[in-house]
Amino acid sequence: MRVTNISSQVLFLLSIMSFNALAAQSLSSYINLPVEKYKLENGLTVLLNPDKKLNTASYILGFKVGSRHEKPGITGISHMFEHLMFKGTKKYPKFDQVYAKNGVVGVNAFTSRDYTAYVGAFPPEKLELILDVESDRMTQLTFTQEELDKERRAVQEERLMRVDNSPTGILFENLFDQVFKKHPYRWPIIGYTEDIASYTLEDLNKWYSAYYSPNNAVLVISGKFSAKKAKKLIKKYFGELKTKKIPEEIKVTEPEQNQPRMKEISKEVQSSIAVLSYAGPPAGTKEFYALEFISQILGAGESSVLYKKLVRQTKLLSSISVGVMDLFHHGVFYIFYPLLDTSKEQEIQKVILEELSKGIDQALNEKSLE
Amino acid sequence: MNDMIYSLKTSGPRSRIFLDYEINFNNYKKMYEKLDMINEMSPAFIKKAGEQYLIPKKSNYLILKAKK
Repeated sequence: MRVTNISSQVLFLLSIMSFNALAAQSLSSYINLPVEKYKLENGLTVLLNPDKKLNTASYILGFKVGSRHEKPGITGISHMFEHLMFKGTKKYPKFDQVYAKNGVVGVNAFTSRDYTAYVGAFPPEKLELILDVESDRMTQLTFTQEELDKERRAVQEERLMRVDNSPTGILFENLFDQVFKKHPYRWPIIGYTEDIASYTLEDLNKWYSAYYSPNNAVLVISGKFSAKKAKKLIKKYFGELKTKKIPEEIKVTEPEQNQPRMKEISKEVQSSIAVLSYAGPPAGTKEFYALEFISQILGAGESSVLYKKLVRQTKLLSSISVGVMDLFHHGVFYIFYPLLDTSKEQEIQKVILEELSKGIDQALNEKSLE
Repeated sequence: MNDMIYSLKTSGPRSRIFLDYEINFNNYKKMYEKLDMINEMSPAFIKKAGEQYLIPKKSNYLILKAKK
């Protein structure tokens, strides 16, 4: 239903938590969230986080397939398929209605560059229903040409809304195309207009058959439920699903960038916006966290280096945001800002580049003060 | 910040975070290890990472200008 970089949102959340008064202690000492992780024989990874203090439970079923697994000509197919996952199975032709009748809420999905996930929240006593429906959807989904055409129109509309008629959408679609020249991160999660128009029923069935299997999935359940009961039911409903051979990912090495890139787009939008970005290291590496640390010093909140300089002192900008997108192969460090006056564009750029260098030094000073 | 921390106390956001770390970071435990890694990081390492990735020749500048 949604195209999102959920991982960056999650990381933002955690990064906010990280760079403040918590800095001297570990996150695990602050919030203790016990998780039991195990694998079924067919390869399904399960994470259980029971918590009796909560009133309801939530599930999320993620598949390790996103837009980076696509190729030119079928860009956006992961997201298109995510829409079709809301069609029925023989056993549950209208599963959304079954969920609604049983108090399952927030049933939704999202696609990122690295994975696709299906979510919902449920009353504790409906755990078995969730596991039955979700295991059924994993392998027994059926959809027709008519349903594909209907969802295609919905995705085309979504693209118009999120990208073609959204200044930020246009900017970020171009950002990935600018930062990546070979890597599949370069195309948009939602796909190019011409590709959305051309997927066939066979393309979608192949996608489902190739990537939707227990050994390519992670099931997480969190909240009020019994872990003992969940384990038994997960084995009952997911345990019999067959393992598949997942297509091998074609490894693409992004060529090293040796000169700055600049691009200007002109559109009928209300105000101008700009972004300065850099390809970074993969999520979870030590270098990635170092860049995240720098991003916080530069742009987190009103006491950050760039906010003080460009918003408060010089009043060249009204706002600025800095972050690192946590992608599996290459993170993306970005500095994003709306321009109040495009004639000041060069001046703003100069300040940002100067402060970027100073920001690294300040990050080191703050680190030294710990 | 407290709002952020308290959002982890509900099952929906929490399960998303676990999934995200399990897939994108290869292990959900990384969400706990992250802060320890940063605490252990030397200033020299941060500087080196900044100088490796955030340098002018690796910059990408993009502007969307409003048509007049």
